[in-house]
Amino acid sequence: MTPVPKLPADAAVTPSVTPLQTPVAPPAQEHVRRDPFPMPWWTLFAVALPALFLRILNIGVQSNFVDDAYIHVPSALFYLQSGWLGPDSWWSPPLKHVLMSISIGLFGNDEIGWRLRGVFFGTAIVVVAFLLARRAFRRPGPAIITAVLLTLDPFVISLGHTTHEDLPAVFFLLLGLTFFLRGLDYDREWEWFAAAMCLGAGIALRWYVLVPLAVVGVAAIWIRRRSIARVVSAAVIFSATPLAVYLMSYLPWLARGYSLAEWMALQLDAFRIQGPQFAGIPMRLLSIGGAERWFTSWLVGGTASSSGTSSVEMSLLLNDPVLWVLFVPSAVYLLVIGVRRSRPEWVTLAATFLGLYGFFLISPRPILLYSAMAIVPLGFVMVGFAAVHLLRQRWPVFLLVATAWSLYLIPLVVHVSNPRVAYAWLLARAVQ
Amino acid sequence: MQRAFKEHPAAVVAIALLLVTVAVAAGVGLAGRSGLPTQQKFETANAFESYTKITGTGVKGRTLVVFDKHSGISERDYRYRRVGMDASAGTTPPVDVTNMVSELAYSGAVRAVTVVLPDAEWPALSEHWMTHWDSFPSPIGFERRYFGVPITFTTAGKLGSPIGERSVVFVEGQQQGSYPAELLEKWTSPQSADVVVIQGGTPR
Repeated sequence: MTPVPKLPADAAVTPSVTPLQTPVAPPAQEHVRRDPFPMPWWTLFAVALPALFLRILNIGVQSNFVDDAYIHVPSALFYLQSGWLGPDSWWSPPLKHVLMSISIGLFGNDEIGWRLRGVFFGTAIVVVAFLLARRAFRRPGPAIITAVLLTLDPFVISLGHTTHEDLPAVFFLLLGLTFFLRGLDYDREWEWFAAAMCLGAGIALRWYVLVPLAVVGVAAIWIRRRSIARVVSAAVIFSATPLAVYLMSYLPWLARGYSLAEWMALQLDAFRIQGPQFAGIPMRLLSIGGAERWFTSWLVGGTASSSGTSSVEMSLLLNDPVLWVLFVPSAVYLLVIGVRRSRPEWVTLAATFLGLYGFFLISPRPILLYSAMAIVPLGFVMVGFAAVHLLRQRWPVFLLVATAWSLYLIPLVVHVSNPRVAYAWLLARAVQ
Repeated sequence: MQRAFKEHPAAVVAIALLLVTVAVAAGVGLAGRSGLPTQQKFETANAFESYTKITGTGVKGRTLVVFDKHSGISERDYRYRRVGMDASAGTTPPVDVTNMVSELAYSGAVRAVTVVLPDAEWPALSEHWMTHWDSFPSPIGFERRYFGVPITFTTAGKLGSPIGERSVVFVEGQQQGSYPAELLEKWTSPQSADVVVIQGGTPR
C-alpha cells in the first residue's frame, strides 16, 4: 500500500483560478489530498434534526396516491415467515421486506410504524449526502448546500412519508459512494469492501443501483490500472461482495425449496418483465412518470383536502423543476472539472449521476416519478459543488434564494393548512 | 494464497463471503424440500379436500403437475393478502376450484406448477392466459409467475416424461379421458409422484 500524502485541512485543494482559466493539474501518479473540513461533535445532529422534523411532521396523514403500504406491509410479514414474494411485485428484489419487518418490529404494526422506516432513511440520506459532499469536496460550502436543499426538497420529504424502498436503496447507494471515496483517499481496500457491501444492499432493494456499482467498479479498476494484482483485487471486491449480499437477500425465498438454477431463472424472468409491457399494470403514477420530464415540467400527484373555502391541506407528491433543472448542468460541470484536474472522485460522482439519469431516460420500461429519488440527493451534491465553485463567496446568496423557494413548496407535502390562493396554480396541475 | 491474503485481504474475504453464501443458499434450498418415503394416493370430492389432503401429507417444496382444464390459479386471493382492502383482508381465503393451486403454492407445499391442459382446450385457454401482461412463451407452451412461483402451461403432447424429481400430481377425474392413459400412468407412478390426488365425483 502506498501511503497517500496529505495536506493540512486548511490548505487550498483547488487552484485559485476562475472557471475560464486553465487549472493546474496535480502531479501525475500522486493523489495529493487533504482531510475534509473538521466537524464539531454536534454537526451531524444539526444536519439530522431539521430533516427528521420535516419528515416526521404529520406522519399519520398521508395521501394514498403514492403509498403502497397495503401491499408492502403484508409482503414484508409473509416474506420473513415463509419466503412468499407477494402481494408486492415478485420481480423486485426482496431486501425491502426485511427492512420493513425490522421497522414493524421496532416501531409497531400500524401506519406510523410502517412509515417510520421512510422517516429514518429519509433523514439518514441527508446526513450521508452531507458526509459524501464533505468527503468529495473537502470544503463546507457544498456539504451545507447539499444538506439544506435535500432537507427542504418537497419530493424527498413526501417520499419519506411512504413505504417505498427507494429511500433505503438510495441511502445504501450514498453510503457506498462515501466508503468508496474514503477508500480512495486512504488506499484502504476494507473501505471498498464496505462500499461493495452497501452497493450490494442497494441492488437488493432496487436494480438501478447496478449503474453506480458499474461506475464505481470501472473507476476502481481505472485508478489501479498500473498493477494487475490490484486491478484483480478491486474487480473481485466490487463483483463478489455485492453478488453475495444480493443472494443473501433471497435466502427466505430459496428456503421454499428452490435451487440456485431456479433462482437464476427467477432473476431472468424478473429482468424479462422489465419491458414496455410493464405499462400494462394499472397505475395512476404512470401518468406522472417519464424521466425526460423530471427537470422541465411540474409533475404533481395527489389530492388536497379542503378545510374551508380559502385554506387547503395537502400531501402531494411533486418534483421541483426550478431547482432540479440545475442537476444536469452541474453534473456536466463537475465531470469536466474532474477530468481536467484528474480528480477521479469527482469524475466518479458525476458519472454516477449522469449514468443513473441516462439509464432512466433509455429504460424500456416506464419510469415513475418515485425513481427520481435515485438522483435527487446526488443532484444536490452536484449543485453544491457548482454553486460554490462558480459563485465563490456569493454561494450563501444562492442558498438563501433556494431555501426560500423550497420553504414555499414544503407546505404542499406536509399536510398543514395553507391559503388556497397561494398554490392554486400548482394544484391545477395535480393528477388525482 | 497466503500472499494474496496478506496483500489483498478484503478481496479474499469477498470471495470467501460469496462462496459461503452460495453454499448456504444451495443448502437452504435443499433443506426446504421434503418428500414422502412411499407414495400416497387420494380420491377426493372437491378442491378443498384435495388441498387438505396434499398439505396434510407434509410435503414441502415439491413441483405440482395439474391435469385439468382449470389452472386453479386465481388473482382473487390476492385481495385477501392486502391490508385494508375489505373485511377479509389478511385472512386465508376459502379454498375452491378457482384458487386451489394458488393456495398450495402459498402454503409452501409446492414451489413450481405445471398445468397440463387438454389438447382441445389449448387454443382458447392459451389465448386467455397469454393475454396476461406477464406471460411469456416457453419451449413447451408459455409461462408466468404467481408471486414468484413459476407456472408453466402446456399440453399432453408437449409435456414429456417425468424429470426424476418426484412430484405432486393432481388429476381432475372428469378430465381423465382428455389425456393419454400411458401419460397419466407414467406421471402417477410411485417413481414419479409422492402424492397423487384424483378429484371427481362431485360436479365442479
